[in-house]
Amino acid sequence: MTVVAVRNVVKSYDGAPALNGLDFETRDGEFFVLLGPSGAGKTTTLKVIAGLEDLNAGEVVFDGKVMNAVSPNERPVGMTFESYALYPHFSVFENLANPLRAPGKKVPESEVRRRVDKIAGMLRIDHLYDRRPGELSGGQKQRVSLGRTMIREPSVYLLDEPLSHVDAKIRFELRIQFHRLEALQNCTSIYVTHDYVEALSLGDRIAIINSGKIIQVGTPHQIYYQPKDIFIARMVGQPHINLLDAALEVNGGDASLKIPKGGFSIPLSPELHHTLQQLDAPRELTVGIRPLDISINPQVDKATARARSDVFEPFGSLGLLSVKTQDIFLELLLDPDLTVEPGSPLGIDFREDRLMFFDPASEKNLLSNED
Amino acid sequence: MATSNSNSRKRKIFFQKLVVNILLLVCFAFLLFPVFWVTSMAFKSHDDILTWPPKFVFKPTLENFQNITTAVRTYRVGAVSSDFLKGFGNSLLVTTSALVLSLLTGIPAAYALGRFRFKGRNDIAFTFLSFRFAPELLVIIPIYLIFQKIGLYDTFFGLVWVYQLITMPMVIWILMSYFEDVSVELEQASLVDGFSLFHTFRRIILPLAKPGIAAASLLAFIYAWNNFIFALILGSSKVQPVTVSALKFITAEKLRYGDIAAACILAAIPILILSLYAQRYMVRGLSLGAVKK
Repeated sequence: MTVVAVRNVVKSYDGAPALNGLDFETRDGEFFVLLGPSGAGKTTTLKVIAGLEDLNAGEVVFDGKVMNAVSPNERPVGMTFESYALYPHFSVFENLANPLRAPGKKVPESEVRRRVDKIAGMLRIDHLYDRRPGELSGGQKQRVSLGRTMIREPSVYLLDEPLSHVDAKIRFELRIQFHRLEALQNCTSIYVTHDYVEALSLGDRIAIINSGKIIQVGTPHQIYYQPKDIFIARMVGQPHINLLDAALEVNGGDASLKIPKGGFSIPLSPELHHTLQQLDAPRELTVGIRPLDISINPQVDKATARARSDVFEPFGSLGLLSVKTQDIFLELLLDPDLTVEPGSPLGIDFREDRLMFFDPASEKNLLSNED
Repeated sequence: MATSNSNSRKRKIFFQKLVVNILLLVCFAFLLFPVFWVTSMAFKSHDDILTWPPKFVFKPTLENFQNITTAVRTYRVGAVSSDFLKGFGNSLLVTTSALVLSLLTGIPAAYALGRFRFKGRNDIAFTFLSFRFAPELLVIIPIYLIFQKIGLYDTFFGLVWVYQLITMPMVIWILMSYFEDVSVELEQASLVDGFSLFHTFRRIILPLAKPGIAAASLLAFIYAWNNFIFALILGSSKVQPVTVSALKFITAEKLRYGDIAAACILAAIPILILSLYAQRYMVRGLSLGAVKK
């Protein structure tokens, strides 16, 4: 198991920066996820770690040893590519066996066969040996690509969006397989994705990357419930987090968040008010609340806010309800079997412990703790 | 109403296809007639060749082929040696050598130009291409003078070297685009698998560029084989290829049309064989499906 550190790495292409002082460190044997939008620098990060791209500045360190001058074929990494990068003129067997045929390996043919059979059996692709990559489905290609990476038994796995081009249903099954793969569990893995569901599902820790920089590193729970800023809060979660312009009001001993455009106020507990005071929170705030943390109160008069239902979309195990309170729309996730007529009056409540408070100017989360 | 519209549409499509096929046949006949004419001349006697109107039904003879392949032929005015077989051998040697040299140097050059980004890359690539811009007659006199001075006139080495002006640009330009087409991630996957750049090039890149190598080799071979000016001016009795030795059939006694035609047919055989052999490598889609675009 290896600790991978990327220290202040700068990488530019024709003067345009792709990595801009990238800095993070994995833990021993960790499944570390890099989550970011397209163009954030995720793939470039992996290629820099693998030695496939040169750095303009900074260091890549494996267990304290600087790897900048080490060529990619000598680094103890295995990498899967978003495009699979299977050799089209090799059969599936030869694709899997290829790392074992590297100069200096001297692996006997019987051992090659044994190791290929083991990996192929684990990934359920042992019936595809004679096929060429052009004859495989997306899911099969992805598994052959993963098998080729695993057979090398590297110290570090670099996985570049391995599930992004696979059908949604197969993606779910393959994601489960990732959890079960012992080889990945015992190694340091850096997994790159733009899909927050994969990140939250697979990662021991998640690093949010944007414009070539790490914005936040944390556990899935921290990223989801304590995003460092509005950008991260919006990136993670479907549907998007509800963001409300609020004003902190204190009336005697009672504090509340007035939502002018919504025509309601959210009462704050003394503890939460005290916390905000200690953080020197500004009076004007942006409040965030996830759709799952807003509930319907059957007693409309006792609810925090009054709203009218707008659109209800049941999909699978959840239902998405859009409601309107005065001038703003809020989105809620509810039971899909609920019967909601458009335009019907509703009462809604907010989970206080899940409220997020952002500074409107800097967009930073006043309450976030970084790991 | 619908049926009559459908019938009229079917008739229209039929006539369109008929017209297109007739035009194609006319083009086909126009383009292939010279080949047919030369082939028939090669198997005609001298009298049949000169007959007017031309004979399309005739008694074929192998006399012309015998004439050009026999080492010495005795005429009333004396013996004339046929250099055709020697010229054929010279063509094979010079063209193959030139092609091999171009492939050995041009393939790595094309890879470097196609894959890497460095200062002057486009200028270097264009310089190679520019060798094909100048007509051979424009450069032949200075090259002749230089060759005379440095002792390369009428040598195999000299001819192979100057043929690089024909073969090298073709190899580089065709292969550059093939190497650009090969996904860089295939190379990167091989590097991560533990192979050096050299082994990656040999095991992964070269096999994928086979269609390009076949196409470039074929074109380069054809142009080098058919070259006349360089061979005529820079070579003499020692290295004359078949394009020049065919001139020997224009004698003081007569214009030996049949011998010339037979020489053309024999000279075309290596190119035919190479085309048939190279055809199976010119199959696109070798890399389709292995890399998601």
